[in-house]
Amino acid sequence: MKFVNWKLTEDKPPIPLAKTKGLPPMRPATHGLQGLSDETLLSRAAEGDTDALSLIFDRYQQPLYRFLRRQTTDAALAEDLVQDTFLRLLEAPKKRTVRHAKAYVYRIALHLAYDVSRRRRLETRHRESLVEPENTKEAAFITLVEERDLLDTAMALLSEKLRTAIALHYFADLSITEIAKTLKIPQGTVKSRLGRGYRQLAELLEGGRP
Amino acid sequence: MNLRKRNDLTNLGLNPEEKRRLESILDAASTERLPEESSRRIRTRLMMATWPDDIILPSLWTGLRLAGLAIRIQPASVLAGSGLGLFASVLSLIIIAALHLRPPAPVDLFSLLSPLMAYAITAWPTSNWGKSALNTMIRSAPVSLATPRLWLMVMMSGLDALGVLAFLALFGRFSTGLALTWLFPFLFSLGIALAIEGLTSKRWAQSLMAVLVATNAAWSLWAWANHRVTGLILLMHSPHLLVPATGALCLFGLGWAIRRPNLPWGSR
Repeated sequence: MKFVNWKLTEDKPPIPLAKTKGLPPMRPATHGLQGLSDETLLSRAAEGDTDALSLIFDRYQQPLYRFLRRQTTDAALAEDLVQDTFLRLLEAPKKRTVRHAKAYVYRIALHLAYDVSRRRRLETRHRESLVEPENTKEAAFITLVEERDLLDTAMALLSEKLRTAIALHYFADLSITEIAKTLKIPQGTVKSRLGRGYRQLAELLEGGRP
Repeated sequence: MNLRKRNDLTNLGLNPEEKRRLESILDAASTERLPEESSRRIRTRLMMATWPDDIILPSLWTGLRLAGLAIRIQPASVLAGSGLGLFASVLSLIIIAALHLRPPAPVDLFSLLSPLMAYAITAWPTSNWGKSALNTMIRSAPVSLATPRLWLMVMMSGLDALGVLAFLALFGRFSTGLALTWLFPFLFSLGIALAIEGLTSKRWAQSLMAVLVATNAAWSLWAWANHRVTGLILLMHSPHLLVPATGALCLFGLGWAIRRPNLPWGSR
């Protein structure tokens, strides 16, 4: 039988023994796993080790959210995709050996984000086919600027490839080598995308200033 | 911005002005965090995705115990015991299917050993020396407790709990908190067993059951207060409370079946 000792909040430490009158809190035994690599934790999590899963969640939830937040430019969608990413990790084949955990996790997240983006594009095309094209474009642009902050608007205007490179580099804090592994492209291509992306972003942000 | 990213931006050919402008905006955006509420929601969802391990096997375990109990008490009621065990397993599968959870993961060591241990415990009273020990215990017990079925229930519940705690200790996962999570359901099961025994005449058994159930509820509240999860999640996420609930239902059904002389398996 599996004992689920789930760490329920990341920031709050376990309740001290004195407060619980001698009863130690039902906290996870993740401290024994702290020294393990992400790769080991991932394979354990896939085999049903909830402590390992909890620790992986602790390590990745914030950078993954920041990455998806900027990749999708939608906070609510990013939250959903963080959840979907971890659920996918659970569904992964049990015996699969992950060589680069970070690249693996972000690749899953990226594919999920691409799927959503593709669906949205199809929906937009469908809507556009139902109404006057000129009005739609104008309305979409106004909505984009009104509803999102400046950075979201600028990120949304970048091409998907450039946006992904910047989101992985800046918000997920991946190195150029790690981005190359995640996207399965040469490091030179990553550098080129980042260079172009950052320059375009700077121009867009400058243009959007009041 | 950390040094690596700063160096990267320099190496990527951005001029100082572009860098400064980007840094001020991107740094502000990169402090954004996944809201605490969302983080907790996702954790809960992930926790739910690990349920199958915790639901199916304990239910099978309960079923196995019930089957053994039926064999010992009433040879004709094997079918009823097995049927109730099957019911417990199907119930678990329905819960899992209803919640769109993933299929069960391979059994781990605990999952493998627990049913075997439970079966051994259940089979023990059928051996000659087991019968003899049981009779000795019954004879030495107070008159009000001297029923084989009650002794069996007490022994099975107690030995199950002790056995699990022994395994926990053996594998270095013993803690007072975990011991309590097994102790209270044990008391809960025992309370239900006593209640079944006392359904006809023994008021003390019903009172004891009320006390044990109340103690169990207090434990749940303590766990809820300390772990900040909803009662429902706590109730459903682990075998600690689900097993006694399923087990109690099955035991009640079994007790009812045994006491019905007009049913095919009831010849009491």
